[in-house]
Amino acid sequence: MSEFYNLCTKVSSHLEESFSQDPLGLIRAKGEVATRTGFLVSLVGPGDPDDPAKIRLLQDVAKSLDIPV
Amino acid sequence: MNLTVKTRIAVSMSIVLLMSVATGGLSWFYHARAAEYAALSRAAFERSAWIETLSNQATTFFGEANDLALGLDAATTAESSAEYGEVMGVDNDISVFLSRPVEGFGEGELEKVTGEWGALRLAVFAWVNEHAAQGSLPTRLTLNPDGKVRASIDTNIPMPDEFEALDENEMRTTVRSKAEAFTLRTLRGLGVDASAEAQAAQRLELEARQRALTVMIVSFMLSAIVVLIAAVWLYRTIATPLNQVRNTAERVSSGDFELSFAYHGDDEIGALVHAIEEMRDAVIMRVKVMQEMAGVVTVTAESMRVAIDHAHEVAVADDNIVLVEALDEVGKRASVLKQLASQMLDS
Repeated sequence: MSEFYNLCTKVSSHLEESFSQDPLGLIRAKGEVATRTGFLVSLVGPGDPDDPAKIRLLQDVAKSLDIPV
Repeated sequence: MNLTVKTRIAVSMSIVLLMSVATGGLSWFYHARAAEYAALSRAAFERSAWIETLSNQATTFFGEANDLALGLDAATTAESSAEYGEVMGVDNDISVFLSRPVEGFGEGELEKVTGEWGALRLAVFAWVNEHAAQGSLPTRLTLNPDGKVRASIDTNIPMPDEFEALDENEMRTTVRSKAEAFTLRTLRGLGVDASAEAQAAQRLELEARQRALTVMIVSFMLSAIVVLIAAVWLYRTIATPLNQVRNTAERVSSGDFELSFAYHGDDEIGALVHAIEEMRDAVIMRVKVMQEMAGVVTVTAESMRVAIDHAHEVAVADDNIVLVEALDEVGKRASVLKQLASQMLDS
């Protein structure tokens, strides 16, 4: 599994745990991440190649949203 | 034993088919045996009846001949002719009857009957002719070359050698002895044998029929048990897992994506479960994508709303009516976009 996929999984898992009692909040948070990164983390699969630019972008977005990655 | 559904059905059907064939085969075998014994019984009874009829006919013949022999001394020619005719009639009946033997006689039995009958009638004819000679009657009984008896006016008929030297008492004793030997020893012996054979065959037929019935009942019960076991086996290995899969699929379709299927067999049902699991995973991924897209739309719509409200304030301050109207329109569309995203999530 690629680093990019692992990072996406961590972000998704953290958001799902954080908003487990707030489905709309979870959707809003995922939309915020997607809007800022320009891709959907749900569509990233284990076979997708590592893209350093996307990894860095997702790390920055996660950091700005207080998501530990 | 991990069998495919197709193999399980084939095995069950084969076992049921084998049981049916075995049941039918055994029943057919014992019914055939019963039919065989019934045929033997019928043949023995027929032979017994044939012997009884012949015995009655021979007794009648002997009675008629006895009356003729004893009555010839004092009889007139006319009476004697009539009595000769009666003896010949009975003799002819027996001759005809003997020409239609029934089946079922042992080797040499029928020849023995015919031979002893021939010896009896020869003795009777000799005895009758002896009396006719003593009474000086012009009629005698004689045998044609074809074996048939006829009345003859020839009074010079020679006596058989074995009777030539016998006197009246010895001849009477000989005739009675031959009559008794024929009717008592020969016919009655054969009749007793036939009756015993018929009873034995009847007993065997009854046993065969009872055995056939027993085999049918036991086979039917065994078949029923085997069919029941096969049905339960098929139900437990096919219907039960399919029901579990259906229940799980229904719960998945109602949104419970965390469920997993309990069946892990390496057969057609296992393949179905695997396909449904893949379908479930694909649906989960698409739902997640849809939710994420809805989130994107929501966030974008909210951002647009904030930007539009700010631009709207600026446009109002600048008294730019055209821009205000345009921003109002874009603001409405942003609101609609957000509502649509909410509706999508609610669905």
